[in-house]
Amino acid sequence: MKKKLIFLCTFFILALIVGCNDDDSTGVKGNAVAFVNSNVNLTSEATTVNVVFENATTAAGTVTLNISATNVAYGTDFTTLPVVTNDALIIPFEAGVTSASFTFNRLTEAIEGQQKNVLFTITAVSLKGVVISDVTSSVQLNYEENPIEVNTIFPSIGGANVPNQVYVDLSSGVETAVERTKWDLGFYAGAEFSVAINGSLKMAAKKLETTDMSQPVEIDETVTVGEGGGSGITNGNINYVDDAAGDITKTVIIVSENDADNKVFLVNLGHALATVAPGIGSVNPYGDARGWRKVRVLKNGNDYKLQYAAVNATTFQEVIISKDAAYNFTFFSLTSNAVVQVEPEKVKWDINFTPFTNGINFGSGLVSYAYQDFIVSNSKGNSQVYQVLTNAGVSYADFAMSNVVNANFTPSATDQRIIGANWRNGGGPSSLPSVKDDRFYVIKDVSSKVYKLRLITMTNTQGERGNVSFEYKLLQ
Amino acid sequence: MKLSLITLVLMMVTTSQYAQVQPTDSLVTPLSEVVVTGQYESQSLKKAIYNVRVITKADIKKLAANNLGDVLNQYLNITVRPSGNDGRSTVSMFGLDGQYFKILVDNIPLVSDTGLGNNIDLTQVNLDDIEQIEIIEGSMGVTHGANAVSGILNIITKKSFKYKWEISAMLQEETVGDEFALFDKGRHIQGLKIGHRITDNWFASIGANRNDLKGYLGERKGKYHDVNDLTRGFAWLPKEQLVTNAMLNYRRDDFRFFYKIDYLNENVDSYNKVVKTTDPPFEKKFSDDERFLTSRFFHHLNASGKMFSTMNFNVSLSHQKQKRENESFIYNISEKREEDSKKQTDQSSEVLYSTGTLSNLFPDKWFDVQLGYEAVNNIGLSIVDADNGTEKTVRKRIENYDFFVSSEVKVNERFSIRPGVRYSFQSLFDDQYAFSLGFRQLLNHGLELRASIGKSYRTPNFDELYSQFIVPSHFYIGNENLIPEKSISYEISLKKMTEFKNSIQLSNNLAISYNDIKDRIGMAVIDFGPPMKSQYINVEKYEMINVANTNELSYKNLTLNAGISFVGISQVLDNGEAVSQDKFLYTLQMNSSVSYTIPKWQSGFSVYYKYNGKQQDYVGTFDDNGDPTYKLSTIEAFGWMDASVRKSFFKDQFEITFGARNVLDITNLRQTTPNAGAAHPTSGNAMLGYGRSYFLKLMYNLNL
Repeated sequence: MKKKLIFLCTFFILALIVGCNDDDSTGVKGNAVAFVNSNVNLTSEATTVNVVFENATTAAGTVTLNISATNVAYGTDFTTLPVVTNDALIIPFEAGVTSASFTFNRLTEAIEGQQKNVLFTITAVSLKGVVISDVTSSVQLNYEENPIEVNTIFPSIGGANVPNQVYVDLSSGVETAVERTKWDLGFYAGAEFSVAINGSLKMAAKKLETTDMSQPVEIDETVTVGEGGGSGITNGNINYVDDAAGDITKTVIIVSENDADNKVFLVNLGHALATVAPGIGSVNPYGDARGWRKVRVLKNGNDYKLQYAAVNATTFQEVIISKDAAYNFTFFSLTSNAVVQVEPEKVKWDINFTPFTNGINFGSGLVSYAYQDFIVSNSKGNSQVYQVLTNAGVSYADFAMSNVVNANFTPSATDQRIIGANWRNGGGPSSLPSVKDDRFYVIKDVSSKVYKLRLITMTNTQGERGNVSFEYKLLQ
Repeated sequence: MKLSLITLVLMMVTTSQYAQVQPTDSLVTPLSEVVVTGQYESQSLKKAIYNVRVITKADIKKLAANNLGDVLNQYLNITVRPSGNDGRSTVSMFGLDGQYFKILVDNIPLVSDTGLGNNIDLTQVNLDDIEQIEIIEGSMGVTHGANAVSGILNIITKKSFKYKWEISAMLQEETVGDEFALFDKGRHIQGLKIGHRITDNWFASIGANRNDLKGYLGERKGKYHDVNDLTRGFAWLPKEQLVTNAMLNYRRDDFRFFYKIDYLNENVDSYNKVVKTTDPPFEKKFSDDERFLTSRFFHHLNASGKMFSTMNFNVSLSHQKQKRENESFIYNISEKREEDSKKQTDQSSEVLYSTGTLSNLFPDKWFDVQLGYEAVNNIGLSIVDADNGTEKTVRKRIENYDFFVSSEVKVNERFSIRPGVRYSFQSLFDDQYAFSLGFRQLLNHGLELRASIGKSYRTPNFDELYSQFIVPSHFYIGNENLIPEKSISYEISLKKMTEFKNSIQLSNNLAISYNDIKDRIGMAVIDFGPPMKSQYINVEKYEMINVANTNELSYKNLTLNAGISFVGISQVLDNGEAVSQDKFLYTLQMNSSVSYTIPKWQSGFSVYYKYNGKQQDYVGTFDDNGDPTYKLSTIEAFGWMDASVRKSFFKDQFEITFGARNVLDITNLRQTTPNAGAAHPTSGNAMLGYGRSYFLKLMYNLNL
């Protein structure tokens, strides 16, 4: 009997060892509320200011903001929507949302030498369990343009169908979103006569033998961007797309002095925007095929002369396109048959979020291949960039002006893909793409201001792609 | 877990165990072993008609094996395939995976996540109460039914106690590769067994074993790593197992009865290598993690004895249930909290099983007949792929009722023939049958000649039957009209036992076998589309030829083993776009072991080594023109060595074993894979293990 007791005791000790292996708490997601940035320059008459939640709200409610104005007065210098009552701004929000917003209407201009700003501070949230984040619980809206020292941007890419190309100017914090299908051809405004095709739509072009635009031409299905995998150059002939690095002398359509050398090009217009939302975490930027055109580009003094028509047409249209030295390109749409505004002036953007036709080697030579979340730097506008891996020794937080190595900027002068797709993991059959946060970027803009920049997310809280966020800080 | 443990303790208050086989606790393996697998009654190896290979308890002890995989690593013709991704280890025998190999415990097929007897996770088979392991290679459809295609493995549990009380407590600490820490790293095993002889007729035992593998990091950085550089988590997943068992046993004269219960609880933690970030300004780090919880109940009730004074009967009834749950949750790394946990059962099998035999129907005759039945009622549940990347739950009852008869004809003292047939009434498939024919001839000079023919079949699994992976560009579906794969195998073996005057014992065995499988199931294109559609169909073929030679020599305190096998496999793989060549691809395997005991010092040492030759397979890919074809993929050769030293103290009451597993420190095998469209094959790595690990095992035995 005594032995039995010994064994039972031993057994219970054993059971206890087994029992004590829980080291984590479990529970439901908490929630918090904050502003994205703590300092914002007012760049337009009406500014939308977002209050963001860490997770989707579980019920509708309100966020209460306290207002503190410096050298401005409510009603004369600014108004808000919703309106301020009793020095408080109450913003309503719905259930299941991750942000709420109010509109700030600027009624007067900045005055040189005078600080004019309004400080909004979150003081209360009606929803239980939502914490007011201590990271950025207030935002100061400045009338004057203060130099941006730190800024977080959610570029308006437009979600998982990636409808927009977004150009961002770091020094002003201004972003310009352009629907990708707005343009087809970009006529280089610099010294060279080169024409870019819209790689964000997977356009491709092939030089034909003829110079005669009045002859119908055959469609060639191999004039397309590759799909990856498979083999050989049949799957994405690299010669049918523009140089991925951005070398303007290596576009498909190069315009010659001699008209007889300016052949007709068969142009695959690529894909329209997709309208079907892909599954959570996937991306679907390419909708229906946009069809084919034939084009021929000639020199016309210091201008371009564009001839274009349907592939089977025996007549064609002709338009003169001028260079504007303030821009990298003059853009033309074969859909609206007009010159269109796309890029900001070349000194007013640094990086561009866009789907992109890249050149990649899957094992049997370079083929064209499309990337959905690419970041191009403005190498033509002289914005320069290099990548820093944190395992090289300096973290993003610690990186200072003294860490900048100017020589590292050099490759970006001739390659616009330094950020490219390097900022995220490509994903695979069992894993979705994700942001690599073991790296960040150093960007020197056209006025030689240097920033450090890190990408933070590529999905929203629901996991939907095409929702990128990044932060940058001025190095001094 | 605590609750279930207490329940178990309560259940174990009266329990016990029975023995058919004498324990072989000595450090030297005896050459005259007794086997039960595939026999009418337990009998000596020499008398057995089938060529039964035995792994003794002493072997298990010398390897300090903590699961079946550790033991089979040293077995000729078997390759253990461990996976760090899901923590499973499965058998590959003659190039056929675990679905073709049947694992039984006391002659009862063991339930797995997805079936009965086959596709067993070797790490879930605990070795604590094992007496010996018996393996028969080849198709054993008559005696063991479905899925006994490449072979069967029967675990005989310990059933006898010499003393009134036999108590043993065990503690094993093991490094995982070069990683070890008392609580957070390495492998930690604790075990307790208590056997009790209540009276001369009643025996009882209980046991518990906990095996806690803390995972292997390798290049990975663990659970709390919060930088998304794809190094979070483990190279080898952490896994914790708790096995408890109890037995009650009665024997009197010819009548025997036992009840055995075995409970397994397993927890595998899977950490996502991707670290995500919530939107700024919050920037909390999180990952989508998973946990797999497996539980298995095994009940076995057995009765055997004599009827009508001469006839032998043996009846078993077994209820088994294995369930795997998948718990997915968001792990908030910043706050060390699990959030939004969701649990679902993704695989389960509940089996009601009975088998029985009646033999010795004609006593005192030169022939014997055995009649038998096997009834299986399995309610299976599995989550398989469904349309548009979703999943669906398939729940099916699979029944089969089999009857078999065989006869052992002793033509004379030396020559026996054993023909047999089985007919299986199947609920889900066409009725199946199997036949077998065995011969045994004892020749002069201690030579034993055996030959056998056997037929078996493998029934399709749930994925093959019901999966439906349909997304815009992919279409892969199962097929409810699949028929079982059919195999037929032949083996001829010659064995020689030699005893020399100076107490040298030598045993040599030469076996040649051939196995042919038809109607093999493969995924093949059935419609070129677009979109291209693929489905599982019975389209492929497999042939295997094996020549194996094993030798054992024992002299006083020294035992030497050496074996060599040469396996050729020819397969016709057909994915609907291309068909592979049916060329025989050969693999060489060699194993050897040395054991030496020094009785004066109460100690011994042993070294095991197995060489696995270069292995080639055809893999579906594309040629330089982008056309589908099959090309050879090669996995490089590797050696596997285990070594240990043991010493006993205080009249065997206390025993220490120290040793190393995977002495040669094999981690990754270079695998050249033909790359689609590339002129040159590329090299990849197949992860084989976590490298050399050291173990220290302390055992305390108390016999009262």
